[in-house]
Amino acid sequence: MRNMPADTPGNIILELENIGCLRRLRLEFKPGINIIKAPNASGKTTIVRSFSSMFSDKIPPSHILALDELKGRIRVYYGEKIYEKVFRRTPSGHVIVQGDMLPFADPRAFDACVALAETGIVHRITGGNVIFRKYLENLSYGNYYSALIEASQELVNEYGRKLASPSFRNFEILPLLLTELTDLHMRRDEIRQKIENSKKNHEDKLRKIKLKITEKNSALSQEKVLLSQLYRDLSFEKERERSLQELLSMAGESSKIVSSIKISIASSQDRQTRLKKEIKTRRCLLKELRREVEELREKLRREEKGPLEIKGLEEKLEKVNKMIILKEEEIQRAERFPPDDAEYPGKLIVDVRSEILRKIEWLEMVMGYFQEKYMRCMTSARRRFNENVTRAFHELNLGGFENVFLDQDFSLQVMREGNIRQPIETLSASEKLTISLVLMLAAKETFLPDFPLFIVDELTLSYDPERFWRLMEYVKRRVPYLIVTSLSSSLSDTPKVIHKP
Amino acid sequence: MPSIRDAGSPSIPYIKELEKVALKILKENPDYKERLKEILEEYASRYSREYNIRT
Repeated sequence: MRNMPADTPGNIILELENIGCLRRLRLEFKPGINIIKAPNASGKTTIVRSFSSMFSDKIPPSHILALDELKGRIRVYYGEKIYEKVFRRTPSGHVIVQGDMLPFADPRAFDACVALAETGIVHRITGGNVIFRKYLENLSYGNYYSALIEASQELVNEYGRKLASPSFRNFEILPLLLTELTDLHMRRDEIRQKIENSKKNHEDKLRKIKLKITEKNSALSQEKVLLSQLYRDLSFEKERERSLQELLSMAGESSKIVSSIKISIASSQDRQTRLKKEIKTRRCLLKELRREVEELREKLRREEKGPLEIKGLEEKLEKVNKMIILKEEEIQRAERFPPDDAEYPGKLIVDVRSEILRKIEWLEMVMGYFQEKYMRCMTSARRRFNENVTRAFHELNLGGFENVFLDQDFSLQVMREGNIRQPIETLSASEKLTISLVLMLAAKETFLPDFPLFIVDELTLSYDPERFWRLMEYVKRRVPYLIVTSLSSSLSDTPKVIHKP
Repeated sequence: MPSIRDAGSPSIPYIKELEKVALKILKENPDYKERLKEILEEYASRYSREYNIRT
């Protein structure tokens, strides 16, 4: 951008060099209506597009530079300054652009102030698309809020997907795992108690066996003593009998003595018989006692090896201990991310989950806030836009239309006289063009009231000239510079500007 | 660091600050959604981090 000689105040000069099909061109636009006249394929649309690229970035640089050129230039003299853009084709074929935009540049201007076949409203209406939500979003900056809502929603969805991942799903079964662990601990306590009881019973049993063995041993000892006494008694009786027998052999014939000795011998023998019987009985008893003692000792030996019941319980205890270890490992996995986790290494899942839920909570509040802003913005944009459309139709007095407006769904409604709704696709080409231009002008007045240009590219082909010029006069009263391209029947192929103040 | 709750936003922490930053990004490039998501994530993380301090 640089200063220019102040010899053309109020005029805009457009210079093109190697732009589209134009090698070199200079056009001057004055306040009022400027008609660019040229025959077909002489560069009228190229002029509109290249001029648009000085205030909007909607047209890609590759669509502007001449296809067979490496360098091109657009220069605009506006106010007292020169604004220039240089286009260069790189060896790889890309087109890069450097330079200045006009001071009133606005990316929205292309959709509101340039009526090309491809621009927003014209394209929509001729294509039968009557939903203008996106169009108004872009012009009213409602798209900023919808972008924020969309980005927030995407983040919420991403967090939702994270929470549905296996790690977080495992976390959800954590209460169940903890309950199972508690059950296992209870089972372990029960088994331990049983083992303890069993051991106690076993000790009691051993003690009782030992006590019985002691008692039996004691009885055995007594029996032995008794038996020994019986043997001594028997031995004594035998000795006595022998003595009596000797005495009998020495007693001679005295019947009285013999008889008495014989009675004594008989008594001794009788006693011996009784003693032997007693000894026999005692020996049997002793044998029985010994057998019982032996049996008790055997039982003691068996019992001392430990009862089978405890072994079974100890095996159960070992199994439960192993299950507890496995369950604790499972709980640990459900509680914490693994140390090699890419996103949350070693972190507690409950903490990460809470963190994500808080993020979602905040994002949902943000979405609600921007949703409200979006609604306010769009409602206001629609109301102001409709007001300007209605005013334009009334002022232009085009006839045939009762009203044209965007309804609550941002769908364009065309009402014929008598308030009869007419589908867009049934309108004639000139009516579609009229509505397109009125809507664009309303958009410009609503959203870009200070933008100084309004450009209409060769949309007059199917237009009633009287109605077209009425419309252009209406635009001229609202926009400093109106530029219209028009087909010329002249043989000269150089575009020329005809000015109508 | 600015206060958790911005003046004029009764219930949403950092909303005014976020709105200012986000609109600046969108004015530079309306299609800069990834950058927008980064900013939103930063603020969401900040909210989450400071949540315990507040409660």
